[in-house]
Amino acid sequence: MAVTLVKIAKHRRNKELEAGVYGYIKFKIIDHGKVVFRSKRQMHSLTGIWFGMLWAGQNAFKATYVAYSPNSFVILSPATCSGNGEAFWFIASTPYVGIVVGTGQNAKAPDNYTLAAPVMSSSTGLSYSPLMMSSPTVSGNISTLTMSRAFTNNGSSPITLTEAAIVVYLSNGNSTIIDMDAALAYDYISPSITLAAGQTLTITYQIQVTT
Amino acid sequence: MPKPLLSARYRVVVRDPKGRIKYIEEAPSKSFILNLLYWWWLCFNLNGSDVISVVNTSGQQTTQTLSQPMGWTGITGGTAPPYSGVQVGSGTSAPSASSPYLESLIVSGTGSGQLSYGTNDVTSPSLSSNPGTIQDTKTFTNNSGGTVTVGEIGLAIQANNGITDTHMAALIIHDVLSSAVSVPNGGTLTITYTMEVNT
Repeated sequence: MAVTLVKIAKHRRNKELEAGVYGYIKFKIIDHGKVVFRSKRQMHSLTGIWFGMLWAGQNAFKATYVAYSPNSFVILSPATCSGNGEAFWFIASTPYVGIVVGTGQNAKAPDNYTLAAPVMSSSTGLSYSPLMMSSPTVSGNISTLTMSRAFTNNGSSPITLTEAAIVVYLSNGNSTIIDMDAALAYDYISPSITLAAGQTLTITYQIQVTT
Repeated sequence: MPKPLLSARYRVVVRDPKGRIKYIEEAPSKSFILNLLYWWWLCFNLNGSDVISVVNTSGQQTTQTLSQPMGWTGITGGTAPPYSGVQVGSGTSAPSASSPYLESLIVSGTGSGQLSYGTNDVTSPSLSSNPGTIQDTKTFTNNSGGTVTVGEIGLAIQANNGITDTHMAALIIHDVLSSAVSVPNGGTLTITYTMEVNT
């Protein structure tokens, strides 16, 4: 009986740091010009939106998404965000693209693209500064993308933040245009961070890839 | 030990002209490259003049200006160029974070040293449980008349110029195989990349 020899090469997963994409969130609170709080935490959750970006044009990508309208978030039922080809493009044209914070907590799941209770930018409450980004950098085998945004409590009461997300703007790009904001990454702020009246919180995301 | 937000693994299968499996390799992907972060960066900064390193439809290294309203079209959207999705090359050097290309791309065709690139089969994302997964599979057929050796593989997305509707391929993952594999004349090479997001 003939025997066919098949060469099989299998690799065990690295028991140290697994290759891939990692992320960190830094928090800094400034009160009257002085830094009163610093914390660096690990990011835990990318969402399936990333797959939608890869999958665009292949099939309709259906997601529960968040729209802005224009000063409030509206949770919409599942809808299609992909067309016959040119799908998913990204611009910072909406006020809530980038880092967004909230006071709720959604279940962490690959198909959760929303904050539970996003806090809107307000001149009398929590105001959002522009998103700050720089082009990615390389150091050895680590590449890093950094983005940050400052939030100032203009109100008279403390605000306790329990969730944060990186929100991207999507469009199907075809004749039936559907635009939306959706979370590319979602994390609990745990332990929570309370911002007293007059304080400014700067959140910095660092996303790193290993080569 | 933290888990990566995003990771990938690949599976390589070589078949002889009769369809018999001659080689299988499965491994975690080791090298995401800088282009991935450029992709994400440009999600927030696309202004019509951004440029990214790509290969064109002939497999030549060049750059692509991304213009609104179409910057990125996933792997298969629009008129997908052959080098969108899985790419293969003959290089064996370790990937570099800042190098946006395979070391030596194998061009699609039937000439000496070439492989015929099949279409990408991108699965519907599986998002109902953690981790979420998605797969892209492509089969390469050797009609070159001789053996073709593959030492490196990668995954690319489409960078689209929305003005001229030109689609090119931007590499985001680059892996070197444990050892170069030979694809016999008449045989096939099938590569599947599986990506995972952790929440």
